[in-house]
Formats: sequence, structure tokens, C-alpha cells
Amino acid sequence: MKEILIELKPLAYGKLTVVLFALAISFLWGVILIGRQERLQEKAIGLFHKSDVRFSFQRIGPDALADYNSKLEKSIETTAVQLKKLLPTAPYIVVNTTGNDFKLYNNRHEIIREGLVSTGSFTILKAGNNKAWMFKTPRGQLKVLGKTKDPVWKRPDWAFIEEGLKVPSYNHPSRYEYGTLGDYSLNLGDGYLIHGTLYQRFLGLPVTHGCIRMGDDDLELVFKTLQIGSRVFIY
Amino acid sequence: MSTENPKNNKMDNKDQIWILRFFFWFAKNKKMQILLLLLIFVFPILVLINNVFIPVANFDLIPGQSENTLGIEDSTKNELKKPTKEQLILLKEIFEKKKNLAFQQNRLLLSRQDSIYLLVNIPDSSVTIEIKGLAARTCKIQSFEMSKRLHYGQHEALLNWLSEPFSLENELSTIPKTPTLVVEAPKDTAEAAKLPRKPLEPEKTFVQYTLWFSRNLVIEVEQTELPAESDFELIRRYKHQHDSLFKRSLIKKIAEPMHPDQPIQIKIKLNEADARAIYRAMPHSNYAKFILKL
Repeated sequence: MKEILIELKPLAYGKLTVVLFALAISFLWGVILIGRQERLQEKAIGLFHKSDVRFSFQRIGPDALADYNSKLEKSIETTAVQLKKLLPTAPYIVVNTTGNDFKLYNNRHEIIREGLVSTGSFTILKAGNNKAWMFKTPRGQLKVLGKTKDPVWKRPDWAFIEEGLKVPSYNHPSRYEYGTLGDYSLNLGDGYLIHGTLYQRFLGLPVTHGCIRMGDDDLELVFKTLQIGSRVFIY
Repeated sequence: MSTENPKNNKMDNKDQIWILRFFFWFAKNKKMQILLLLLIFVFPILVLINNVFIPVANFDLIPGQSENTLGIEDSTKNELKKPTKEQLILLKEIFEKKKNLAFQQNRLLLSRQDSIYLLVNIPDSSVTIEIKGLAARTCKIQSFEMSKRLHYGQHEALLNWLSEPFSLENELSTIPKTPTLVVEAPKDTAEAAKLPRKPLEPEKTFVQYTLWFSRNLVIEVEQTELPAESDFELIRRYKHQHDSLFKRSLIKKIAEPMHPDQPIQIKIKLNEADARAIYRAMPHSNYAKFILKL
């Protein structure tokens, strides 16, 4: 009898074991649920919320629905017309400074040429006296302000500084470089140009000082297609 | 020579017998089984009720008051009537048009400003970089996930929420906004030849970014292409930063189960070139505007 009692003693803790085990599992499970509560909340949204159209229905008024619908249609048409007016009516070019490519469009918004360009390298050149230049291509909408055949590059100060050369006087002959810009250039203002390049192998890469460099054939077509005032979209 | 202790063996056998007896006792004791099940479920059920169901039921899905965006005065304060099937179809058409109008008007508004802006058109599965009303680049969304709040939110609250362009408030990315390289001006031509230069090859870093906009909108963009092994550390750091900004501690979650400013997330997957171009094209901070069409 005594032996049987000794052997059954652990079972006396059975209830406690079950309760503790259950509470431990319950707690662990609860903690996991709290950890994932945002996901569960997201899933539960459909259980408690439903779009109710009755408020809007009441506001518009059951008899005014058709009228309201046609008024909306007119407003959409008017806005669409206003948006269409913003679009270029002449050929234009779109330049991607991240992928270093371009698309040339005609006035019907059809692509007539696409290819590679080189744009600003995002290099910051720091000279003494708090002078610094950032070589980036401006983004947004620009316009062709001028067109030049056989352009001559007048080297700015940074072109000398970055080569470790002494900056010459403003009109010094060493500032003028012939052939560097290719056969054509289109002036975008603030010293930025679309021009040709001697470094055609770098097309598709961001290596310029802010200008947009193009291959010879592409540049010729762009030069002939875009007129003064044509829009240049850069992103 | 055997090292087994006969006394230990005897003890092991006794333990096994007790365990068997315990299970035998448990299997026969239905009350204990029910108690076990009840206790296991009690805490999770409480968590679900307190932290999920009650907060969700009382939560305003779309931030801001549900205003009269339809621009019509309350014609009556009578009990709300249920529309007929035909009226319901017309109402849905009106809501779609209202969303479309808000989208177009926002485009018109931003096109008058001198900035690049972003359009996400969910019905068309496209993301567009627009400049002055011209779609400079339209990218196909490869896949997307959208918060259910946008689906179940009240129509008028949603229209109100979409009625103005969103402004960028913060961003986190695996790629730099401007990949700048700083160089000091060389003293002579010899030094100029040794200047550091950017690698002459296209960038390949894995593109993943999160954009926080006004009115609790969060857009997460990720490239569809798998990352290279060399990018794993970069992605780990990004995710760590992302979690530190978004994840709340267990205590905070218990104290406030649903934060009133809980973001409305839209996750978008784009191809690498599109994802990179969009991030780089977006202007900095508040200048970056975003229009959403649902």
C-alpha cells in the first residue's frame, strides 16, 4: 500500500502541471499574437468596416444622382482639356539622368529617336576660398534658347581648376576649345548645353559637368528636330 | 567492461512509469483536458479581443474627418435610405468619377508648379514621373499590396483624403538620392591625374526605399530583380532601420494597440531601372509631391 502511494505521489501534482503548461503555452501564444498584431488588425478590417454609400446617397439626393453624374463628367472633360493644353505642341526631348538615356518625340507625341546620353556626374569639386562646383544636370522643364553649328567651347574656371592648371584671364586664348563639343550644340541656359562628345564610349554613364552629351547621329537629328523654344524635359 | 549503474537504470524506469501514468491519468480525465484547452486559449483570445478586434472596430480607417466632399448640402436629416440596385451602380460610377476628377485636378495643380511629381495609378498599375503635365516616364507596376483601409474606408473620407497631393515628409533608401563624389581641387597636373573618379559602369545596387508622405501614407518600393550577394548587408541595414522606425515594442503595443497615426501602406514592386529612376527623380523633402489614384 505504501509503495503504491509513493508511486502515485507525482500524480498529485498532475493538475498543477497541466495548469502551468497551459498557462505557459497561452502566454507564449499571446505574445506571438501581440508581435503580429498589426498584421492581424489589417486582416480584421473587413470584419468591422464596410464602405457605406448611404450617407453620400442621402446628401446627393436620390433624384439628383443623374444630374450630379453628368456634372462630374463635364468637370472631368474640362480638366482633361486644361491638362492637354499643357502638353507640347512642337517636338520635344525627354532626358533621363539616372539611366542616361533620351527619347525624342514629334508633335504627335510619338518617339522618333531614343538612345544614350551622358549627364552630370554629381561630382563636387572643392577649390579653396569656399569655392565649389557640383557637376549635375538640372532637372525639370527647360527650353532650347539657342542653336549653334560647330560650337566652340569656352572653358570655364572649373575646367582649369580640376586639371590643376592656373585659371587664365576671362578671354585668354587657352579658354577656347574647338571640336570638343561636336558638330552642334543646343543652349539650355545657365551654361548648360546639349552637345556632342569625343568620349562616345562613355555614353550611358554620368560623366559630364552638367551638360548633356550625345552621339553624333542622335545629336544631328535632335539639332534638326528641335527649334528655339522647344521644350526639354529632364528627370 | 560495462559502466552502467543498475541503480540509475532502476530510477529511469520509475520516471518513465510515472510519465506514462500521468498521460494515462490525463487521457482519462476529461475535466483536465477541457481545463487545459480553456487555459491555452484564454490569453490569446483576450489579446485578440483587446488588441485586435476592439481597436479595429473603433478605428478611423482613413485619417481626417469624413467631410462632405461631394459638395452638396444635406438635403434631409431623415433616416438613411438604402439605394436601389440601379442607384447603387450610379453611385459607384459617381465615386469613380470623383476620384478621377481629384486625380486630374491634382495633376493640373502640380503642373502649374515648377517641380517634378509622381503619380501612382493603381487601376492602371502604373507609376508616372510627370513634369508640367507631361508623362516623362511611365513604369509598369509588377506587383503591389495595398492596405485594406483603402478598400474598406468610407467613400467620402477616402475622397477627402485623396483630394490634395501628398507631400513627402521622410524617406529611407538603399541607394543615395544623389550619388555624389567630393574631390579637392588638385594643386598641379600630376595631382589631377591621381584624383578619385567614379567607376565607369552603371550602378547595380539593390533598390528598395520607403517614402513617408503626409496624411499617413507610406509607399514602399522594391525592385523585382533578386539582390546580389554583395547587397545582402546593405539590405539588412535597410531593414534594421526600417524596423526601428516602424516596429513598436510589445509594451507600446499593449498600451496602445492601434496607433492613431498608423501608416496606410502601399507596397510596390518595379523593375530595377524604373525603381531607381523614380527615386532619383523625386525632389527632396516637401518639394516632392505625389498623387494617388485608387
